[in-house]
Amino acid sequence: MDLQEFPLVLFTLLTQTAVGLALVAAVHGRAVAEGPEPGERAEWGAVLGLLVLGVAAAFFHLGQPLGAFRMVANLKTAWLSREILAFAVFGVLAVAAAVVAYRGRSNGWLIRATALVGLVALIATGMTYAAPSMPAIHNALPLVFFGLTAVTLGVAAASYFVPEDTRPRLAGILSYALVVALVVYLAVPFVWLAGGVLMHETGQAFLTSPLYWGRILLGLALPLAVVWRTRSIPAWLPVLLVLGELAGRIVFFGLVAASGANMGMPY
Amino acid sequence: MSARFAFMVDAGLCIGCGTCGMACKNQYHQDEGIVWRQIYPLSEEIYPHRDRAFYSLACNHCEQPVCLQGCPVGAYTKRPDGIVVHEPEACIGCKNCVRACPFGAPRYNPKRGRVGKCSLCYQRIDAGLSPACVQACPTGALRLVDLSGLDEPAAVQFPPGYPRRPDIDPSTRFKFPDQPVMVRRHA
Repeated sequence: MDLQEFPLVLFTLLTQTAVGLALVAAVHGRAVAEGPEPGERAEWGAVLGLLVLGVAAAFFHLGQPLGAFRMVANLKTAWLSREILAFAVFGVLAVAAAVVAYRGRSNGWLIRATALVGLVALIATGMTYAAPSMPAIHNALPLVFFGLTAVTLGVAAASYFVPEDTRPRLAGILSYALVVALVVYLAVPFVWLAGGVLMHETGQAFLTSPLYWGRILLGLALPLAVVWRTRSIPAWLPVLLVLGELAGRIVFFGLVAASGANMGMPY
Repeated sequence: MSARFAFMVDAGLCIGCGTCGMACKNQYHQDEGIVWRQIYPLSEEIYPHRDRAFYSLACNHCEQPVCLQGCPVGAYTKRPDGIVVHEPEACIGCKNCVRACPFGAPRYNPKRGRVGKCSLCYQRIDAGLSPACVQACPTGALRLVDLSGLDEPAAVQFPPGYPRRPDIDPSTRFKFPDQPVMVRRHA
């Protein structure tokens, strides 16, 4: 993988985990009338921390970081502009949710709105990376990959913040998400093998990559086995999941064949 | 009908000398390692002969340019004559256009932290001159044509070895090389 792409690996992973945490907070209905649960303050702090770190990482990808404020100039056609705007709104709402939580209160509508905007940002990210030059991912696959990352890492990270009695439910959700992720990540390269030259190249590159198989075995299959067996999410498991996602994202950014590199050859 | 300027690449005439790329480099004083016009040899699966054939390619000045659509800061503009111009000063080097272009035309310059690409020498065209690459080509393999009045039945838009993207509608036209003639002596 081109090292210039590594900031994007971090940006996508960190922001998708932040969105996943917000989604868990909204879907799990942890906006109770009596006030926030003990872990909610820390959870919104984590959402903000992940978002800030992710955005900071993205700056290292820019040749002219000082021009970053102009990135919302082409909302009409550029998904990247829409993505940045959505994350900016997500950040503002997450700050508001964190402030409310730190004041000892909880606002269900605010949490749901934050999660919804996070979902919009996730969709915009999926569209941004569906590059027209890469037939293998010029489709809904980036959105599927990023959605699975948000769910698995979001649920895993949320296990640090939720009360003890909620953890088995999270473990159940995580096991389903890992099964879906395992099926998707195993099937997709074989589907690519049946496609055109560039898709075939991409499929072969994935299936012969140690990082891809490392991710499948250590980042998906092993965590699934652990969650299934223990019916819980051990404290060390999110770390393993992050490492697996990191490997998967490096493969995503590094091994997908672009048509520009195949000029003069069959397509 | 307004003009739509484009490159015409005659792969039969191109000898792969790279003069076009060098002329482009000289015209724009590009940094080391940065070349906007590339020479791509056709693979033997496409042109299975001992003679070699080449595509000389830079930006295709597409009718639906994905670089322009994907640029978050609006560094790209499309002129009425079809030329897609990139404004380096507006570029923030996010490389979204590099990822988007199916033809690999925009090139990132790490030294300047910005992307650059062929602008079809629009300043030269406005002054009544040919693009630098066209002027320099020693075999006449590279020409500037106006698609609005082009009448060359042999010209194709998507030859073998070139991404078939009618949705993006690249302007470059090609003449595929003739197949070499095999002469046999009769006893």
